[in-house]
Amino acid sequence: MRRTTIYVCAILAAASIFASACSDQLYLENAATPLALGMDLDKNDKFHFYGTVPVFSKNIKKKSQEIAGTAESLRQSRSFQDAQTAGTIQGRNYQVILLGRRLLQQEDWFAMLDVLFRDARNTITDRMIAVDGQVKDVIYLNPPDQPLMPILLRGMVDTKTKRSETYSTTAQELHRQFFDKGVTPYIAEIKITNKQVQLKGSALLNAKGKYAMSLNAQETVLLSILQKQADPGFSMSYRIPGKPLKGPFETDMLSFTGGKLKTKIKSGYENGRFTFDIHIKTKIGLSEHLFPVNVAQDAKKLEKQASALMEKQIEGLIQKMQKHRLDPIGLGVYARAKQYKQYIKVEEDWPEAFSHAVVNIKVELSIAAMGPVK
Amino acid sequence: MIHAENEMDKPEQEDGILFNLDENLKIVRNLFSESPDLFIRTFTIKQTQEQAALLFIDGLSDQQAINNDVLRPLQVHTEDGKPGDELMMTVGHIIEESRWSQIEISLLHGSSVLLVDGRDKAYALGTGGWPQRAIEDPQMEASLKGAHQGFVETSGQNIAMIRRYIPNRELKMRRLIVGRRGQTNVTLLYLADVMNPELLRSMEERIQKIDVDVILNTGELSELIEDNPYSLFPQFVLTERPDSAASQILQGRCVVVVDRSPSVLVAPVSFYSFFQSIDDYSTRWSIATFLRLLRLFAFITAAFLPAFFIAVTSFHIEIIPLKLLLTLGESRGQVPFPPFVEAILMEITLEMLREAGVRLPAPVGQTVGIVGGIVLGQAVVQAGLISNVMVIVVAFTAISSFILPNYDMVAAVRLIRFILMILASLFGFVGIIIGLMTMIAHLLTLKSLGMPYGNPLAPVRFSDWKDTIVRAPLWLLNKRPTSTLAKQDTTQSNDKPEEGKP
Repeated sequence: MRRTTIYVCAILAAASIFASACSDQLYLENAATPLALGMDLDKNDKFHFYGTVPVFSKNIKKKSQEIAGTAESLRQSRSFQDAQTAGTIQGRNYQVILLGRRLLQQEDWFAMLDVLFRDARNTITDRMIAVDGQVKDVIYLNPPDQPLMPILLRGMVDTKTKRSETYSTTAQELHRQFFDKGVTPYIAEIKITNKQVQLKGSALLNAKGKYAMSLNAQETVLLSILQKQADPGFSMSYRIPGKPLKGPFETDMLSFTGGKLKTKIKSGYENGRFTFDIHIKTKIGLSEHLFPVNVAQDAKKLEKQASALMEKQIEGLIQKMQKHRLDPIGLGVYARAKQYKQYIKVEEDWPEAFSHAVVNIKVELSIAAMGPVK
Repeated sequence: MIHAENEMDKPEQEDGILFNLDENLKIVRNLFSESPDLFIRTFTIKQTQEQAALLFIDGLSDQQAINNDVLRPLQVHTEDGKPGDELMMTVGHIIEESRWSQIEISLLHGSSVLLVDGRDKAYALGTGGWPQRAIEDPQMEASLKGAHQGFVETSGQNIAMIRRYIPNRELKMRRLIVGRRGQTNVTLLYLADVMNPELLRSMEERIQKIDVDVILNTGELSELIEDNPYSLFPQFVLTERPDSAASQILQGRCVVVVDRSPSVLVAPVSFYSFFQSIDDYSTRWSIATFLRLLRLFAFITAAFLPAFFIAVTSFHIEIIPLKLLLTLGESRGQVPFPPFVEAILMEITLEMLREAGVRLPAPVGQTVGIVGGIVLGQAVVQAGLISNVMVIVVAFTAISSFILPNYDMVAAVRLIRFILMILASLFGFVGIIIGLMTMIAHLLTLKSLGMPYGNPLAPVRFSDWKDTIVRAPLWLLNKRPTSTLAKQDTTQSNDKPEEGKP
């Protein structure tokens, strides 16, 4: 009797397992997995989406298929996206999300990305990239001598981030930057020049997500230094004033490689303004100087000159950011931690408060290596 | 066996041997009717002038011994004697029997039986000599540095081989007889001052409870005395290596030698015993540790890799790294089957190839390898029936399962693989995890001769870890494993060898 019950139970269990299974089964080859998502506005401010879907076939030469269309929102457009491919569109493998300049010039575009966070199947580790121009141009570029566009862009952003020359801001990180009131968002920026994708550096957005300004590679490195994100090995170049120019070459160039950084940030509050003392200290290795100099003797002098140039550039950068009401450094986080009473009063509009803040920069470079040649 | 004994114990009139030779022979012919391989040789013993008959079964007894050591001394005239004298025979092993049932067994086991007119007892002469195989390298458990002797089909020789490793009088044996018809000699070997008596008694009781016609193989015995015969996992180690068997005895386990079977049974064992090989102790401890970890890894891949592949390609495409996604997509894109069908097809083909290779003679077996390698590895991919990534997965699985040193464990892994593949195709990772948890739970409840199968990881026995997953240097292995509940737990007291000075 007992044995029969066990058998019946086992058969029932097996049957129910086979009958139920998981409903969301989706074979790899049946899924269309767009690797890039593009979002842009056209001249009439109509929302456009773009996608690049890899094509899994040996017989088809073109390795990717582009999809595009207009829509009210991303999820609403899904059936329209599906209609353009053989498989079903899955947002699980996005590598990059491209944001057109015209879209970024609007405020509050971030809400459009809601589906990425709300549908947990979608990835949130995709890199956010601003396009200086139209997203359409990037998606349909398909250069024959480059890998698939999403792979190219991802590689570009990832490797340059290691050198602190851009930011590999993921959708999740961007989400944090939007919701942290003490910091404004920053993402990577690319541009099409001569039918080639080029990495420009980074784009800074204001607290509402509107594009504010762009930074080139060296400025991005400086911003990374201020954010304490710069890894050893970043490279900087300055023209040392007072060095002779020979011929068409700019022989007053000095390039150095930074070592491990010690950035100290002290915050304060005086006379109704926040104050920040930023002290940057690092050892550098000279990687190039086109003018003759006896480093062994004149090291101190050179160090001072380079420090002053770097200080000046950082100060200029901070002034620009204050003008645009930006705080990508996240100084608001320091203010919140140390000057909470003052900060909480201005929390809702921290970038405005930061624009009146006093920021003192001190850079201390010391030459540790001058290269194996004299 | 118990039944047989009971029958023998009954004092039956017909069972006893009579004084009259002719009547006795009549009884014999009656007992062994239609047995043309029973030979009866009648003659007169020169020594005592008595009529006698020698019975033996052709092929089971040694003709030389019968001719030279029995018939010749009895028929050559020596000194005169009178009837009833001790007979002159140059045989070492003589037992006097007075019951037909005993004589029957002796005859059938290869002894020759001498019946003498006027005596109510017979002499069972140890002239057994049946077809035997030479001692060869063990086939299933080849070793690089271990001995190259494997067990053979005669339990006497097998026991002798074990005794060569443990020449100690504490090595005791219990002889049991299993099978109503087979009357198989089953010998329990153990170290009397080490082996836990409770475990020994449990083993003996289990063997005594067996009531079958015949046991042909150790595998049959093992299935009849296992703790959980429904489990996929083997609960006793079967080995054909005398050195492994001796090493297990020394660790406080018992070994069951079954006559006519070339493998012996070791109990109690744990899950990790199946990942150990005798070579682990003859190679350097660091490499032995590495190999043990490698085997555990191989176990996991052999069981889980195809399931993992199915789950990833049919549920969780988001976890595939980008570059792999492109290659995988390209190779999967041309395949007409869903991943599960593809995987099952290849795995079944692999199992078929393996089974075909086992049965075929060596020269033909190579052809199977070529057919499998070229036809399935290459042609199937080129025809676009199977993706090349699947071929890699199957090949990797096969290699992983070959690494495991124990055949029974490999067999278990093969079945588990299929179960996990089905679960993965139905539920993805959730299914694999359910399978894994069920397997772990099952392993934890499993027992081998009443001792926990998960020893020493569950229950945790830290002192045993030195010789399970890792193999610590020999001078640290001074204690016997606690999992055998040995009476005497110290085996040695070695210190680290000193650095030599000239």
